[in-house]
Amino acid sequence: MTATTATRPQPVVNKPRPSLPARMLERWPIKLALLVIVIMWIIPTLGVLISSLRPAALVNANGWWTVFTNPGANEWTFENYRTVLTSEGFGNAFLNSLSVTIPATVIPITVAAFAAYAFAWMEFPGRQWIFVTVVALLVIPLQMALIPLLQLYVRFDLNGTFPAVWLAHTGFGLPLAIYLLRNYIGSLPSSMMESARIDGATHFEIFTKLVVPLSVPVLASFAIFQFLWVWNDLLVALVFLGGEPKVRVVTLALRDLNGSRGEAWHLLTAGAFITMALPLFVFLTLQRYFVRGLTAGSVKG
Amino acid sequence: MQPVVTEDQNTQPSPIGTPPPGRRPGPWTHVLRIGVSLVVPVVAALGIYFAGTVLLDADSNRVVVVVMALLVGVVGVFALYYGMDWVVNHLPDRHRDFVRPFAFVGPAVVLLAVFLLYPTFNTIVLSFQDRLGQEWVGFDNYVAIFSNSETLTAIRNSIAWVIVVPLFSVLIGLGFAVLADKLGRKSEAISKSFIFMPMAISFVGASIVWKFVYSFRPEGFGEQIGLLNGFLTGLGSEPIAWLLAEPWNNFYLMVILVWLQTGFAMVILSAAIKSVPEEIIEAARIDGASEVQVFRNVTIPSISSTLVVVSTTVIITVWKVFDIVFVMTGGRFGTSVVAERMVTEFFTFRNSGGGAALAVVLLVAIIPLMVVNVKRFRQQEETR
Amino acid sequence: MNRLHRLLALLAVLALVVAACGGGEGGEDDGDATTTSAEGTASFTDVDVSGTEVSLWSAPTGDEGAAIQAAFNVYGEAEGATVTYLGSDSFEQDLRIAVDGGSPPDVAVTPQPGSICEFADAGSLVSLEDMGFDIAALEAAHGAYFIGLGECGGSHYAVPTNANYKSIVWYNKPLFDAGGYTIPETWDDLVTLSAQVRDDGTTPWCIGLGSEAATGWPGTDWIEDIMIRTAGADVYNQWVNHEIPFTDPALVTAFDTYAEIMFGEEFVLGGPDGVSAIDFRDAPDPMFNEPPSCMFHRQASFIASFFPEGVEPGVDADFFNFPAIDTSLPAAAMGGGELAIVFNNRPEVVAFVEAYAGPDLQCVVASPAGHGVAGIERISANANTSADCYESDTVKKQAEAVSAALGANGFVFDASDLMPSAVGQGSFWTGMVDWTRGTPTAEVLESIEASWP
Repeated sequence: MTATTATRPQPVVNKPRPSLPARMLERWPIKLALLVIVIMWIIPTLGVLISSLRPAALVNANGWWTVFTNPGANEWTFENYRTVLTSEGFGNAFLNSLSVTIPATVIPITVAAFAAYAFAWMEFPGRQWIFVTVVALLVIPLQMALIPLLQLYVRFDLNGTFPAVWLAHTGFGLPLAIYLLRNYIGSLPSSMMESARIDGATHFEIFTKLVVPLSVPVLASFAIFQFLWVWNDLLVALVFLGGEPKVRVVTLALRDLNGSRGEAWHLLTAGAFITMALPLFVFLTLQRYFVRGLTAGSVKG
Repeated sequence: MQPVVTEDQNTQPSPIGTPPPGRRPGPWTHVLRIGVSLVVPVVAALGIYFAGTVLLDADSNRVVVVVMALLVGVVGVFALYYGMDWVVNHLPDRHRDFVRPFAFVGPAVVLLAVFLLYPTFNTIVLSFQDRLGQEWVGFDNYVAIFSNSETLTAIRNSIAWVIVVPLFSVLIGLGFAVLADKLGRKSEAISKSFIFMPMAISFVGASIVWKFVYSFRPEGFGEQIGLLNGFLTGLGSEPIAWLLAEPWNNFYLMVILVWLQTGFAMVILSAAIKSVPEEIIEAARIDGASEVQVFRNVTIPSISSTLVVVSTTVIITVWKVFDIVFVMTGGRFGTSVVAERMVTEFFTFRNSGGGAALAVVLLVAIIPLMVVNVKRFRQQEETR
Repeated sequence: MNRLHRLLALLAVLALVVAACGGGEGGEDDGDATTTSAEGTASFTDVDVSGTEVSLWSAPTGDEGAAIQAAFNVYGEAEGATVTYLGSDSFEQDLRIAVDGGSPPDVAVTPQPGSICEFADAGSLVSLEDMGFDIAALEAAHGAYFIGLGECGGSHYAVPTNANYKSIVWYNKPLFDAGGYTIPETWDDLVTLSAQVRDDGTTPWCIGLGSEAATGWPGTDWIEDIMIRTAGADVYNQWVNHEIPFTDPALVTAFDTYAEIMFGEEFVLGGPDGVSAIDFRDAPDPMFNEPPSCMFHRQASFIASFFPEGVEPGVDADFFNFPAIDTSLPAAAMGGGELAIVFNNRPEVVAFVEAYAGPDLQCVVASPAGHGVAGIERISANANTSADCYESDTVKKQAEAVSAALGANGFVFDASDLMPSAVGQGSFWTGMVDWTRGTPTAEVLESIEASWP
């Protein structure tokens, strides 16, 4: 794993690791580089995090960095968070968001994984051009699809239901999911597939027992993104589910907190951090599946 | 079952599941193909329609709703595929292998046809009609796009976006994924989550984040609350109206998207890096390759297909971007982009023909990218 | 070919299957319409609407939205009906999607009359005539001008539910009083006064055009206030209807007049270059710096709610009407308003719209005394609404100005809200931004003219 300058051949197994100080020494430039990028990435967010903990009047009066340059003049408050969390119907909106997000994450992954496997490892007419069409659909702007779909939904009386939103998110998420998964599944070694076939495994068995376990990293990464897109989505939920307090999702609840002309953005900053917590948790949880060695032993053919 | 293949089987590279030669699909096969493609979506539609009426009962317990959603969404869909595979297995021999791929790919195709293909056709039709979609106008909307100085500016800007943003976000994402890979597990997870964080923040949140960076207050409007101008005035310089400074304001907006998209590139590339077999890397090291050589000669070739996928995805995302521009400048000060024009024309100006034509331009412009992808997938299939 | 056929067949089968599924189960629930007994005397409408539901969408959210819903609840309790209010920041877009998608609300209340005829022409709206409204009575209550805003192809489609007043110049009262200045009666007085204030050491004007995707709109209000006072109501209406081009000399005059302040030497805080970067919500703030950084700010009544904390209208800040320019023209007032349009013709919907525009429910929604939400006052567009309905003197003063102007037919609607959206929410806004940043007037006017659909 670690960088090594050793030039003499070493046995792969039980490879002696360089001593701890040596590793530390090798790692510090890496750490420094990472630290610089992390700081660049985090400073803008930090500004908002600090602002969400300050009274609205102060936020407007001076820059957020004054909490460091002139700490005496600052006040800290949880008022913004309290207002958001105790606002009417926030808990309900949170559950609504969960009811939308979980199926809208899992359904496209399931559907896409089966399709990606077929595109990569099965032979059928139109395989190539169907796949290209799927990828090309990535470019369709969501906004253009809303009105035709709403007309369909209204005709079939599906509008305003959770499944309407699940299906919409599934449809919109599928191109990317199929594209990512097909690339990954297609790069699995064919020798592995062949030997499974020779062992008498059916496609369904190969898929569930071999391909899916091996594809966990890419499944996990797509799950992360689909989860947070759906979680942070406002438009699809608004159009297909509606904005009534009964069914509205968290993003809509937050928007409704905003004053009539957008003056309550101190609440929006607090709200942004509250809604960010769950996707971040999902990310950290699924991180553990980003491990190497899943394809261990299967050298590419 | 975890079959582990230790050595190359050295079989001839025929795609598995190819129907035996000499047989040709008959008419019934086509019917069955269509049938299985439809079974999952239709059963699912009925199922969730039924579930949906329960789910939307105003007074039903929200926790029950969440559990139901989980059951329907997670278990139900998989069970449908399982059931369909069972059905295919019980088909007569001569149909089975022809029909099976459609059980796998059909539901996705049907969903895409309804949710994306149908709206696309709709959009193409609209693009040849007038503002209200009532009369045919031929190519007028397209002529208007290429004769309007504002949309031409938007096209120019979009091209700049598509070059700059993917370049930086993929490079930074790749670099970060590679370097973080060399850290311990905990510190890797934590450092990656910082780059990922911008993706998790809602769009409203993100726009506020960048207001606190680019905010500008002229003399008399109080202290600067934007970071950059706070820095400048702290050094004794005059503050700058960043978002008004043509043409550089375009780059300031691009920075926002780089900040957002790098997390995506990093996560996907990181997953790919993790899947590079350890043995190859070790073997290269044993052969005396330096880390840089390992990276260039082993890692990069191994993840090249993922690099193309990530670049393609980021390019398309950038090509479609409108909300950053919409919220930060509203497309003023020479910052409009094609997708932002499209949304404005369609929703704000109620010009459905003009907006649809811009959408078609967006679609057509990515054809070269698709060609690259097709070539690459052909290649992948030939070499694996 | 073969493949294409297969795909088409697939789509056709899908369409059939889906259609079959949809046909079977048409009418859903409606089951939980509560059986509230219609006790109590119906005080807002004579129609029996007990047990019915009406949905209404509009733009206001937050406290203002809460106040509207509260007023609807007062109606609902009295009549045993339910009126659901849904406010949205993206109201215009939401409504368009819902209407095009085939699921509009029963009623929408729009601040942009320009969109009414677009919906009416598409056949989405129910006309007032079809609902049995008495147009003459409506004109008597709201003024012929306001009712005329909803007229498309000979039929009327909109009932005004709210008005606001925009011809307002705010000033820092203590500073103004200390300087011994007098309220300007004419534009020339205003320009002279501005120069005097500048010479006394304060920048006269605070102007901010920033408003995210809508940046530029505060500038259009200036041009409109000037147009009605230099060219008169007839030319103003011709301009709105594009009977004169945007390059008409009347427009050049209006821009040149605005330039006297916008480009007056040290007249504008931050300079004309900077106004686009200043958010309209922050624009009045420097008026209340210590010492004040500017004296005047021209903005509609709502801006008072954005004044810094502790600023009390009437004490720290006060306003005068935008002064006359051509004194031979009758006194004018420029403003805006919201108009109810009806998508679903049901008796309870008609009854509610009639009640909402009527003086009784208007009084409820006018002030906290009626709806109970502190700090929210809405000016009625019905001349029969009693002045006692309003709480604060500033709002009372504005309501009087509006109702006087409505009565005298001297009221004009914000032009950018009446123009096609490509201009009124597009090129006119961007044109103001370009103009303040140095683009010559003629060039700005030509590009706006070119964008007129």
